[in-house]
Amino acid sequence: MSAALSELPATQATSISIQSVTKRYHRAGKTIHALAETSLEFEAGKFISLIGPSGCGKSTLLKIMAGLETATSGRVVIDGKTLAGPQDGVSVAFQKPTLLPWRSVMDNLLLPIQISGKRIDSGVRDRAQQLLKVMGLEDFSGHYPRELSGGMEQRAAIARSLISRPNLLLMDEPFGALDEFTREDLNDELLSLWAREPKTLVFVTHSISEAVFLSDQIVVMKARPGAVHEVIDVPLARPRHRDIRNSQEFYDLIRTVRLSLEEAKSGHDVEQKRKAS
Amino acid sequence: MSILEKTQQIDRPGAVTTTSPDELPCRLALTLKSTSFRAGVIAIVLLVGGFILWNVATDKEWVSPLVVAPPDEVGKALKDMFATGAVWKNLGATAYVTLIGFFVATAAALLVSFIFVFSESLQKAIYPFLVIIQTFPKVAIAPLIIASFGYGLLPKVVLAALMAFFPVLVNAMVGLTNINVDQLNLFKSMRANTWQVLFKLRIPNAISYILPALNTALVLSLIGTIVAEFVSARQGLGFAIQSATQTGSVATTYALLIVLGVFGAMIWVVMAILNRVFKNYKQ
Repeated sequence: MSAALSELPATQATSISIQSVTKRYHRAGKTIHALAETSLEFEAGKFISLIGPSGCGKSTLLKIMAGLETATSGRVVIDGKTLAGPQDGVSVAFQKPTLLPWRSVMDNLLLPIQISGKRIDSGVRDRAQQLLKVMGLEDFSGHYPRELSGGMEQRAAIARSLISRPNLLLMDEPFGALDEFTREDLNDELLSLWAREPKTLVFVTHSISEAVFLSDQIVVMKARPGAVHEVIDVPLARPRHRDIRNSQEFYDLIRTVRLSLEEAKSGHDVEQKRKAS
Repeated sequence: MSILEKTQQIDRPGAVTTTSPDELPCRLALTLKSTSFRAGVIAIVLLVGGFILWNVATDKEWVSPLVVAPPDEVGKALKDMFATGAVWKNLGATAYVTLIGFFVATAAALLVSFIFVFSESLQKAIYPFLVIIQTFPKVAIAPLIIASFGYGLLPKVVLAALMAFFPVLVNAMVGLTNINVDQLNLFKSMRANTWQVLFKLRIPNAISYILPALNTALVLSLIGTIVAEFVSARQGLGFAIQSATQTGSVATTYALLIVLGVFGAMIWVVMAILNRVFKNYKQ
C-alpha cells in the first residue's frame, strides 16, 4: 500500500440529516410509494450501509442524497445546508463501473477534475497514479475499459470516485456484480482507503456479510413502501482485517442483521417482538 | 504482459510465440482451419471460377454479346480508357461531386442533429417534414432538381447530398440522445454543465453511431451523383455509362462498372480504417 496517500491532507467528513423524506413516482396513472416518511441522522466520518430487499427504496434514498433525484417531501441536510441538487464534495459510485469506453483508465480517473474546471497538474496526476496503485491498477493506466475485467473496471471506478477527495462518498451496490473473492478483496481495499482519508460513506448492498464487515451502522430497510426498519450498530473494532470474518462476534452480528431483515419482511414490529422475547 | 495479450493467447492458440520445429505442423493445421483463411480461399475460387465462366460463356455464345461483353474486349476498353486518360476525367468528376455532396450532407445532418438535441420542440416540429422529404423517390425527381438548379455542379451536389443526408441525421440524433442513464447520472453528480455533457459525453457517444451512417451516406452520395450524371452531364462515370449504353458499346459499359466497383471498394477501405481508428468509442 502506498504510504504517500496517508501524507495527503485529511479530507473533512460530512454529517447527514435526512428529515421526513418521502418519494412517490407517478407511472402510467399509478402512484408508486418508493419511500415512506424516512428520518435518519448520520454522524460525520461514519461508514453506513443501507440493506434490504429490492423495492425497499435504498437506491432511491441514495440518489436523493446524491441530489440526482428530488424528494417528494422532506429534506436532506448535509453539513447544515439543505440539499438542492448534486453538491461539491460528494462522489457517487454506481452499480456498474460506468467508465467512458473512449477514455483510457487514467483519463477516466481525471474526468471529475476536468469537469470541475480544475487544472490537471502533476499533483493531480500523482494522486491518480497513487489511487491506481492502491487499487492494483498501476500497470493499466493507459488501457481502455474494454481491456479490463469486471473487477478491474470497478476498481478504476472507485479510484475515480476518490480522485476529487470527496467528504461524502455514496456507493450504490458497487460490488453487486462481482464474484465473492473479488468482492472481499475490494472490501479490504475500500476499508483501507476509507481509513486513510476519513469521509462519510453511505453504501447500498444486498450482502449481509459485506454490510457487517464494512459498516459502523447498518440501516435495515423494508419494502412496499420502502421504509427504515431498524438501525443496527456494528461495534467491531477497527482496523478490520479479513480474519475478522471468522470471529464469533462477526457471526453474531450477521445473525442479528438477518433476523432483522426477516422481521422487516414479515412486517412484525421490532419493539413488540423484543419485548415479547 | 497486458491483459489484452493474455486473452489473445487464450483465444488464438496460433499466436503463441514459441516456435519449436515440432509445433510448426500444428500451426499450419490451425491456419488451414481459421475462418479468414477459408474465406480467402472461397473468395479466390469464386473470382477465378467467375472469370472462367465469363470467358467460356461469351466464347461459346451462351449469352448474347449485346448483353455480356467478352473479357478481352472489356480489357481492351479499360486499356483505352487509361490510354486516353478519359477514365481519370470521368472518375475525377464523379468523385468530386460525390465527396462534396457527402461533406455537405454530413455537415448539414450534424448541424441539424445538434439543434434538435438542444430544442426538442424544434425537433418535433421539423422532423416530420424531413421524413416526408426522405420518402420522395429522389431518383425520380432528379430531372426536377436539375431543372430547378441549372446544369452546373449545384444540382448534382444537391441530389447527392439529399441522398446522403438522412442516414447521418438519424444516427447522429440517436447517438446524441441515447445516452446510458448511469453515465448521465455520473455527469450530473459531478455537476457537469450542458456543454461538458455535450462534448465529453454526447458527441463521443454519437461517434460509434455516426461512423456506419457515414459509410452508407458515401455510397448513397455516389448513387445520387451517378443518377444526376445520367440526367445531365458532360463528364463523369454516370455520363460515360449512359453514352456507352446508348452507342451500344457493351464492353465500355462493363469497363466503367469495373472502375465504379474499384471506387466503391476504396470507399469501403477508407471507412474500415476510420472504424479502426475510433474502435474505443463503441459502448
